[in-house]
Parts: sequence; C-alpha cells; structure tokens
Amino acid sequence: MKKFGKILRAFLMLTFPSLLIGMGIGAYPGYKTYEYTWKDANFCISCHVHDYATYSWEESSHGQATTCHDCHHQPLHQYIKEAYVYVTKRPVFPKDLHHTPNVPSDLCQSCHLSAHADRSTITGPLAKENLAHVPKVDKLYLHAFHLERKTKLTLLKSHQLSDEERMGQFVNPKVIKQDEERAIACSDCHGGPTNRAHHFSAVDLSCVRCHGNIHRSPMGQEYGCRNCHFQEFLLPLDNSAR
Amino acid sequence: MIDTEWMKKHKWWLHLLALVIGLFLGWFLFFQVPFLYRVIPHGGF
Repeated sequence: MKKFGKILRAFLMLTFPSLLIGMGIGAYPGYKTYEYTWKDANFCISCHVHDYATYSWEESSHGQATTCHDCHHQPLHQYIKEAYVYVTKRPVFPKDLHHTPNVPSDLCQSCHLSAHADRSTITGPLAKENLAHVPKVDKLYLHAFHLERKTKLTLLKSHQLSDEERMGQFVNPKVIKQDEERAIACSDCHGGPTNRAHHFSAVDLSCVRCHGNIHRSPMGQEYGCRNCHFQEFLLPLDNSAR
Repeated sequence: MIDTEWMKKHKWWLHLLALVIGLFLGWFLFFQVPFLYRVIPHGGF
C-alpha cells in the first residue's frame, strides 16, 4: 500500500500538467452534456412516451420559458432506473402511456403566485428578473376564489388512462372520485387526462367535475362554461365586485 | 517493476494516460456536479 502511494505520488508529480490540460479539454464537453440533459427537451423525449405533448409545450408560452426539469422533478435513483429502461425496454406510445402526469401546485406557484414559494426549482430559460411579468393568479378574482376553497375530489394523477384516452378520445372520462378534503390544486383545472399534452388551458371538463350541470337550462351544454366565466378568471381582484 | 526510472523511461505514455484521465475527470466533473446540484435538492436521492 505504501509503495502504491509512492508510485501514485510520483505519477502525479510527473504528469500533473497533462492531467490539468486533460481536465480543461474535458470540461467543455462535460458542461455541454449537462446542458443537453438539463435544458434540451430532446434528451427527455428520446425515451419518455409522449403523443403530441412536446409539440404543444414548445408552442405554448411555457415552451419559451421553461425546461422539462422545471416541472418534472424526480429523485436521483430514478435517472439510473431510466437509463436501464432505455436500454432494456424503451416505452412505446400509446400502449405504454399509463398515467395522468401530475405537476404539484408549488411548482406552478413558484412563478404564478405573488407571495411565491421556493423559486430555486426554476431552471428554465426564463430569467429570474422576468418572473415579475408572469401573471399572478392570487391577484385574479376567480382564481383567488378557487385557491381559497377545498374539494373532496381525488387528484387527477390517480386516474389510469383507458385505451381510448391513450389515443386522445375523451368521451365521458370517469374522473370523479371522492377522497378526503384538500385544497384545490392547479392541476385540478389545468391538468387531467384532457390536458396531458402540456397545454395547460382549463377545459370545461374541469369545471364539470365540481360544478356538474349547475345551470338548469341547456346553456352550459350549448355554450360551455368558459364562454361566460372566462373573463372573471382574469379580472384583477381589486376591480371585482365582491 | 514500476519505479521512478521506469516512469522516466515511459514518461510520454504516462503523460498520455494522464491526459486521458484528465479528459474523463473534467468531463465528469463539469457534467455531474451541476447535474447533481440540480437534481438532489429538488428530487432527493
């Protein structure tokens, strides 16, 4: 052991400049590898099963301001597992699209609340100084109203996609299940089976989950919820007649 | 037998070996350190 230490010391003393030069040359491709794995969506979609999710994300406002990692956090061991799956059994759309993705509310809140949560999760191209320009939903009338309320519906991530839903056919999705009372999450309206494609627009199906057929006339079915109620979700809180 | 004389005799090969080791070390450090810095605080182990 002592002899090995001596040899190693002698080796390092002799070749230290070469070692440094090698590290300097290796640093650039190493950093570019990090940039590719962390900031380029192509790294993620080389394996993760998507239908048109990546395209709709790229075309949306989130595509210009975020990376996959901004919303999709996972533990370190998951990357090792994914590398194994990539080699042994790469998923194929649509048969391997099983579950409804879930984005926890604190990730949306880091940009979309004025009293923001932890912002260290943001890694995307959006510069931190531009976060002030992102719409703050706690200052908007119906958004603030909903954020103060609770629901007994299960989170949409518990919904297992049917064969039809995997192909994008959402006829009477059975996503109404009861559970313990909890705060309304962003993904309750801006997520779910119909929103799995990263578009994040709230759809009428999201309203119906809680509000059902609240209108006695066929108005809701004919015109939809958002035709009448869209504006109130964007109305500033201090201008609303509450 | 590896000793300082042997090392002097084969120094250019050793320089090449150190260059390759340094390449890998540099690539690894500049890839893994920022990657782990991002992953571990937000996803854990």
